[in-house]
This record gives sequence, C-alpha cells and structure tokens, in this order.
Amino acid sequence: MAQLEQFRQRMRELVRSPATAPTNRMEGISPSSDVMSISVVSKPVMLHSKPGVKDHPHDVASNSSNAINHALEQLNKDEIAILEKIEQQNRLLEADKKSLKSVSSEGGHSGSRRSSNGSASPTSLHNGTDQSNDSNDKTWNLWGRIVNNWGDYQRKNGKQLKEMIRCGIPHHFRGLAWQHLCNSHSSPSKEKYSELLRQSSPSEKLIRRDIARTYPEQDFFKDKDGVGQEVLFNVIKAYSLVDREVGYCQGSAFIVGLLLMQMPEEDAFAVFEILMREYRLRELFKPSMAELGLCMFQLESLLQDHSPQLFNHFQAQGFHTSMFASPWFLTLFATTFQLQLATRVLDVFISEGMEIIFRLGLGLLLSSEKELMEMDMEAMLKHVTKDLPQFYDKEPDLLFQRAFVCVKYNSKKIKRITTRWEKEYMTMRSKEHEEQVEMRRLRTENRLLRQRLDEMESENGQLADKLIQDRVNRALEAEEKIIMGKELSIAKRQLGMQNSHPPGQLFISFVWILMDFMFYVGESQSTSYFICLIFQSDEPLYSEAFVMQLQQQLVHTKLQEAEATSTIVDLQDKLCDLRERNRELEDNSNAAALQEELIAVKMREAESSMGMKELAHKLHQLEDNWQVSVKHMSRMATSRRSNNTKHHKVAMQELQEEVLSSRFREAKMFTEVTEARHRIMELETSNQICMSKLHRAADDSSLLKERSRVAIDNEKILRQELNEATARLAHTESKNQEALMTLRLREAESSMEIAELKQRISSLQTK
Amino acid sequence: MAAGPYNYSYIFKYIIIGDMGVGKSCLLHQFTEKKFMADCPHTIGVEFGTRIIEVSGQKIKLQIWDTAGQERFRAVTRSYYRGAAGALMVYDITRRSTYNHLSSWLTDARNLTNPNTVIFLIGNKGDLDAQRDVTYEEAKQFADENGLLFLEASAKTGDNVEDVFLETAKKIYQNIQDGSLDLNAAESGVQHKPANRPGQPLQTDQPPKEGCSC
Repeated sequence: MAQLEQFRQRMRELVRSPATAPTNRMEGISPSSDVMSISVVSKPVMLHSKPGVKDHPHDVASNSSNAINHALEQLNKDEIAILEKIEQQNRLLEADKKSLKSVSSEGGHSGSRRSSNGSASPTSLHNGTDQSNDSNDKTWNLWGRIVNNWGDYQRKNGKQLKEMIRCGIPHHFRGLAWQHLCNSHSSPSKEKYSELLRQSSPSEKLIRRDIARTYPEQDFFKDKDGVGQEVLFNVIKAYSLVDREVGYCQGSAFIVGLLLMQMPEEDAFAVFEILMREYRLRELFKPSMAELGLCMFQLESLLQDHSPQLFNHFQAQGFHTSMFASPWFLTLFATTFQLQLATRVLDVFISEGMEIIFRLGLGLLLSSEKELMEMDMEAMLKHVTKDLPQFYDKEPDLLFQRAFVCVKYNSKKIKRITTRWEKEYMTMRSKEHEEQVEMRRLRTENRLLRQRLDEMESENGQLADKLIQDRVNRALEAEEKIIMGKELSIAKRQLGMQNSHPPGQLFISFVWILMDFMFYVGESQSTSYFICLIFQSDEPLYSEAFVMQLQQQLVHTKLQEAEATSTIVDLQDKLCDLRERNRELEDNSNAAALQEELIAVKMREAESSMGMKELAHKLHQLEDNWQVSVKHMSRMATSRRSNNTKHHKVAMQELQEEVLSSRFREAKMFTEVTEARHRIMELETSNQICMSKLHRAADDSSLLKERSRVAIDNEKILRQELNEATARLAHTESKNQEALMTLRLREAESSMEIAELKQRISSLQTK
Repeated sequence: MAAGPYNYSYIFKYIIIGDMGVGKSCLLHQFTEKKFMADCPHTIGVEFGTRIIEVSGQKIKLQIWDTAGQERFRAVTRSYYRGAAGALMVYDITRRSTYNHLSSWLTDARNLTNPNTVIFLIGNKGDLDAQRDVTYEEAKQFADENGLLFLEASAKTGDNVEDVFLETAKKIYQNIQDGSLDLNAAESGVQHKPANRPGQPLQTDQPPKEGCSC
C-alpha cells in the first residue's frame, strides 16, 4: 500500500510538468509532421489569448473545458471567424516556440520542473473549479449542436472536433457521436440485422460460453438471460454470420459490450461492423492472429525508439509485450481500464483509429519508466497490468495527455516497421516450420534409437548372465576334473596292487567257496581235516584241482549261455508276435504303452531267469568241488597225518567268517529269486491283459467281417434286382420297337391310301 | 504486506491449457488466492499468477501462465509452452467436447514443450458430478496411456486444486533429483536459486497473494 501511494505521488509530480516535457521533445519534430503535439500546446494559447501565459503548464481537465468554452464562444458569433483565429494563434504559437525553448533551457531540467509544479497546480485548480459548472452547460449545448449538424461541423472545424473528442464526448451524446464518426447511419448492415438474428451461426456455442464472462461485474450484463446478455449475444452472433472468416474471436465481446452500453443493438451492430472492417480490428481477430503479432512488434519498435534503455531492460528481463499488450489491442483497453476510461478510449479510437492504442500503451509504459527500470519481470507485469491501470482510472486526463505529448507517432515510420516485421515474420514462419519438421524428425529418430538401446541393453544383460553362468560351470568342471584325476590315480594304484599277486587271490577265493560249502554241510571235523589237508598239500596238487574246477565252470557257463540265447530267441519271437497283435489292435495309444511295459517286463524276466541260472550253476560248482575235495581227502587221509594246531585255529576262525558272509550272499540271492518270480507274475498278468485286448480286437474284427458279409449279401441281392430291371428294360424296348414298326407300317399304308386318293382326285378332275 | 524476503531455491514455470470455459483461470485463482472467482472475465492472451510452495523441504516458486482457450490464440500462447516445466491440461467433466479435444492439446504440449515437461491432466468442475459427461475411469485410462498424471478437481470447492499444483512440482523436483531434468538446459522451465543474494531486487519475492492478474 505504501508503495502504491509513493508511486501515485511520483506520477502526480510527473504529470505536473507536461509543459516542459513537450518543449524538450519538440525540438525533434517538424510542425507539419506532428499535429498532435502542436495542438496540445496550442490549447493554452486559445484559452487565455495571452502569449505570456502559454509557458505555464496546465492541468488537462481545465485545458479541455477551456477549449470547449472557447469553441462555444466563437461558435456563437461566427464559426469561420473562429477558425481563422485558431489558425492565426497556431502561427503565433509556432513563432513562440523559440521563446518556449529558451524558458526551458534557462531553468535547467529538474529545477524548472520543480518550480513550475509549485506554480501550476494551484492555478489549474482555480481554473477548474471556477468554470466547471458554467462549462458543463456550455459543453452540453455545443455538443448538442455538433451532433445535430455533424457533417458541417466536421468539415469546417475538423481539428477542433478532434480535440474535443480527445477530451471526452459527454455521455449523453456518445452513441450518436460514435455513429456519426464512423458514418454508420447509412450503413446497409442495419437492414440485414433483423434477418441475421433469425439465422444460426456455427460459432454460437463459443459465443454463448463467453457471454456470461463478458463484463461480469457490470449491472447491464450481469443477469443471466437478462437483456444485456441477450443483445450482446445477438450482435456478436450477427457479426459472425456476416464475416465467416473471422467468425467469433475472444476479446471482441468487450468492444461490442461498450457499444451496447451507448446505443441500441441494431446501431451497435452497424458500428461494430464498420469498426471491424475499417479500423483494422478485423485483421486482428482473424484466425491466424498475425496482425496482433504485428501490433506487438510495432509497439516494441516504438518503445525502442522512445526509450532504448527501457526496451533493453524489458529484453534483459524477458518481459515481452505479448505478456500484457494483447488485451490492449484486442479489447481496446476495455479489460484494462474501468468502464469510464475505456469508453473514453473508444471515443478517440473511433475518431482517430488504432494510433490511440499505441499512444496510450506507450504513454502508460513511458510514464513509469523510472520505476520499471528497477523491477524484474514479475513486478513489471504486476505494475503494468494492475497498478498503472488502477492509477489512471482515477486520472484519465493524465493518461491522454501523456499519450499525446510524450508519444511520437509517425505513420511513415510505422510503415517501415511493418515492412520490417513482414520480412521477419515470413522468415520466422518458415524457420519455425523448418524447426518443427526437424524436431519431429529428431523425435522419431530419438524414439527409434531409444528402442534399440533398450533392446541392446536387454541383450547385453542376457549375455552377461550367460557369461557368469559359463564361468561357474567351468569352475565346477575344473573341480570335477581334479577329483576325477585323484580317483584315477587311486584306481591305478589299486590296479597295480591287484596285478602283483593274482594266483594267491584266486586261491583264496577258491578256498572261500569250499569253506562256504563245508560249513553249510555242517561237518566241522572233516572240514578241519580238509583244511589242514589243503594247507599241507603241495602246490601241484591243488593247482590241478583248480584247473579242473575252472574247466567245469567254463562248460557250465557255456551251457547257460546257450540256454539264455535260446530263451532270448523265444522271447524275441514272442515280442514279434505281440507287436503284430498290437498293430492289429485299433486302440493304439494304450497298445503302445502296453508294448513298452511288455518289453520292460520281458527284459526283467530274462534278467531274473539269468539270476536263477547263475545260482543253480553256483550250486553245481560247489557240489563238484565237494566231490573233488572228498576224493582228495580219501586219498590223503591214509598217507599223511600231522598235527599243526596253531595253523588250525587261525584257519578255523577265518573260515567261519567266510561262511557267514557266504550265507548272507545266499540269502540275498534267494530274495532276488523271489523278486524275479514276482516280476514274472506281473508280466504274466500284463500279458493276459494284452491277450484279452487281442481277443476283443479279434471279436471286433469278426463283427466287421460279418457286417461285410451282410453287405456283400445285400450287394448280391441288389445286383439281382439290377439284372431283373435291365431285363425288363430290354423287354419294354423290344415292345416299343414292335409298336414303332406297326406304326410305320400303318403310316406306309395310309400314305398309300393318300396316293390312291390323290390319283382318284386327279382322275376325277380330268373327267 | 511488506515484501519480506522469501528464500526459495527454485522457480518452476507452469502453463495452463485447455478449451474455452473449462475453468483454467478459476483454477489459477483458486490456487493463488484460495477462493473461487465466480465472475471471472474470459482471458485475452495470457495471464499470470505466482505462489511459493514447499516440496521436500525446498521452497519453490511457481510462475504460472494461464492462457486463452480459443483455438486461434494458440498463435499467441505457443511461445509460453516453450519454457514450461509443468503443463496443466484442463478439461470440463461436464462437457465431453472439451475431453475430446485433449489429444490436440496434448499434441501441442508434446511438440512445443521439452521432453521432460511434466503434463498433468485435470478434470475440472468435479463439484458438478450430477452433470458429469466424462467418467473418471476413461480419463484415467487416457492419462495412463499417455503417461500423464491425472486428478479430478474443482476450482469452485478447491478440491484437489492444491494437489494438482503440488504433485506437478513434486514430479518436477523428482526429475531434478534423479538427473533426468537438466537445470542448465535452455527452456527447462526451472531456475535454480542457490541463495538469496542481497543485490537481487526484492520485488521478485512478493507474497503470492498479489500474483494473480485475473
């Protein structure tokens, strides 16, 4: 709050020095090129008609009322005389410019401002209060006359009128004045209006959306479905129908609203239509909005001309005109200022065109140049969009004064700016387009590359996993290898040990078998005898027996082999048989499983039979050995008897152990045999199942055979029937032929008769 | 209302986009002023608002640009997309057409912002559930398919409005933390302010209350 107050004070100070400001600036302007600045300074001349007062600055309020007052006086006598006088005074003023300059240069810049402030404000205040009531009446009368006789007045007192409009058209005459200014009375669009109301526009929905959001705080437009909103909608919709290219554009509703507050909808429509068409507004609202960009550019360029340092500050802070100036152009300050000031802006806009918007905008910015220079972007934005409009709503005249005094607006320069912009705009557009294309291309490329990257990363991950696994495997393998090497060396060592004494081992194993058998028999005494016999006997003796025994073993094994091969052949035959039967069976899936099982079963059977045979063989061996040993015993019993008790005891113990182990082995064998039997049983049952299946299949096949027999019988019957039928056919055919023959005979007879009759006829004719 | 020195370490730039009349300006006003503006005139060009928030103990200043919704204003607003770290894409849950236009807004947002810009989809006017024309589920699915954050909010009641702005900031902050958003990149929409330098003008640190210009 304190800040705002401070700012206001500063603004007031600035305002009080307009007279020095224009004089400073006037140096650069030729009188012919800039009418505004001259006429502003000319006002004090007209007011006092004393050249001495003109160097004193004046408040704009008094300025305007005095101008009107003066104009009124002159009008009463003779209008032409006034004009002459004005021009004369203008000339005088031009001549006085030098003196003005000298005054300002005398005082020095800041000093002269301060001093003039002090003197100016009280005088202007007095002027304002003294003459306010009086001048209001006079203004009213004058405007009444002007409105009634617009054409003439404009022709004769154009400049005067313009000046008066700048000071604000009285509310009462505004509607009429606006219509006169844009010459909308004779506009043909008024006639079309009622018809346009009946049509519906494609932009209707968009317009409806904004109607309630246009001047929502104004009573006239506040009520939903009230008259204000309805006429606002009507006018905008009618325009969207007239100008299909522009249709409806956000922002225009505020201008239409301002018009509707001054005149009926029909007139407002006509004025709006002309404003759009002839006042550059239509260009602004076009869908491309290129014109708005141009306006921004022009505003920026003008700012650069007026105050390069402020322009540079804006640039440095990233403070762009588009951040605040769009509504200035699109709503003609209607959303920036309060209604009163906004309406005054429209007064001047209708009278002078878009120029006023630039002037006001620049005036606004330049008036607080000092403050803005010290602000950053955010603060500037707030200052320009909130603080300044709030301030000027209370001091409207001040704003207009600054707009006309401080701003140099040169149409030639504007044209140059426009051409520059057009060039820049075109290059920018093309560049932007290129950039967009490039951007799109890069984006797609980027996406593709990213995809590839992802793919490669996943692949990479997989490969890394694989590598780790491979390494682990290799380590495991190496470990295994070491273990195997160790095992191998152990095995080699064992092999070497075994090779070193083979006959001894063979002998020992032979003895074990013998003892095994004897223990089994239970003759401990004979055993002991036999053992001592063995141990005492010479080497040739037991080697002979050993060889014999081995030979016998060989014979046995060969026999077993033969038996085994024969059983294998048998089994194979059976297998073949079963396979064939299985093939015959239709139920393949089950049959295949059964076949496999059968094969496995057969194998087991074979194994078990082999085991049985081995056992039998071992028994035989033992018997043989026993017999041999008995023979030996009988032979040796008589010849030698000696007592070597020590040897005896040790051998006995060993033999007992051996016997026990052999018994265990025997038990194992028995269990194996029983297992094998079981297996055989299983196999037999499965075989039976197979057989039953085979039977079923055979039954099926017999059924099928019967069916086929029946079918054959049927066929035979049918064939017989066929034969009969063909016979009948032949019979009927022969009958037919006979009939045909008789017919032909009859035909021949009848033709003969015809011939006879013809002959008769001819004979009768001749007769 | 003295302009006390706010110590914020980041500035995030947001942009609010969406069809006409979906409530963009009202969302901004609700966020910056914490109240609903019933009679808000329609936006011409762009408007601006600001507020300081806190994310993970960091003070962050949000600079929010609110844009005009009419299609032709994209010519004016497109330059505001460029430097945005967050884009709030608004539709009106009571008007399906505003939802149907989302893909076009999204295309604009994707083409004109940088790839790290966090896009938040907002279904506004959540208070008008009786007039609902777009279901939560379909919008959620649309958001998921396009990798957008999503919430339904109400500028009128203030429901979820804070969350929308905060979640966006959190996501942006997260992007900064995990390095996916480069602070030095041009147009990242984020400025880092390590410390409050005494030479800086204090106007930067105005209280958020006066920020909204609508």
